[in-house]
Amino acid sequence: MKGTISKQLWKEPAAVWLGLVVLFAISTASAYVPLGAFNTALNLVFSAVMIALLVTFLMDLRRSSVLIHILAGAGLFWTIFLFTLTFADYATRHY
Amino acid sequence: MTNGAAGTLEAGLQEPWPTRALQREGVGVGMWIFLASEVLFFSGLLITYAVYRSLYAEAFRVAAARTDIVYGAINTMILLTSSLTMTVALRAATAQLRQLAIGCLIATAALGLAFLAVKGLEYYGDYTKGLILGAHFALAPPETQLFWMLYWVMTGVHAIHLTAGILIVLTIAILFERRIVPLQASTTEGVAIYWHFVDCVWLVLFPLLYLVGR
Repeated sequence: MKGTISKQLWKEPAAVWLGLVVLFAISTASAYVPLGAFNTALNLVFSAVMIALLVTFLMDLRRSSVLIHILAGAGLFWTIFLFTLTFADYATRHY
Repeated sequence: MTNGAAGTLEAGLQEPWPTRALQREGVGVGMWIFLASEVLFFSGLLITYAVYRSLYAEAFRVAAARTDIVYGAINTMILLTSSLTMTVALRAATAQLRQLAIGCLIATAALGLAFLAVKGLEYYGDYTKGLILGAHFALAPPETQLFWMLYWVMTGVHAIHLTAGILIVLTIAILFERRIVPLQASTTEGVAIYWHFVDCVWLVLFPLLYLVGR
């Protein structure tokens, strides 16, 4: 009985792990395709998808309360402000 | 005072929580508040990287091409696998599968140590290639040192976070194994959230430090 439960515990996390490994392999391989400035953009999109998978399924955010969803988004929210305001300056100042 | 001794109705329950469900929620809230501050800490480094790279794109391309992608890729695989074992440890703790939970915690810590060992080999290789900042730095133009400053700081700070994670994971594994505290999901969940966060940070660092200039 315990063995069956143990197998079930591994099933979903192992599937997510496999997905992460595949995404990691594709992202790394794409770095060798000459896409110019889009290489890093593509790599960061892959990273974002991997982090979303990890946070949703391995950190179990999908089963968390609304309060925890808000807290998890807080760091990202202020980071967006940080990047937007900083590059609002650097991207528009030409001296 | 706790009423967490084995044999009580709510084993593992700590004051001031009336139920284990609320205790688990409290751990999650506390850990996510801490992680929000950690996100902003790493964001400071990431915005520095972004600004310098926008100013010195070619120097960053030259500098990043000298990082060792093999070590970086091995370490990514190690961390992804450690997130798998950490997740199973938490689920096993929730299901009160004692041996599986403790075994997965130990496997997670071992994978963390393997990451640090690989990182040590990588640092030694960087040192022999003259990539330590200073008068004898091997690359030109001078702005390549900005990339390598960020490389040492970002990977160093990440390694410190991972070291803390390893110590915490080993501590709870020992506490559970010796039955000093009862096997419980809330403690394991707090540790698991932190461990996965350290993994997430690496998933951002890897493309910025290892995939540029390939």
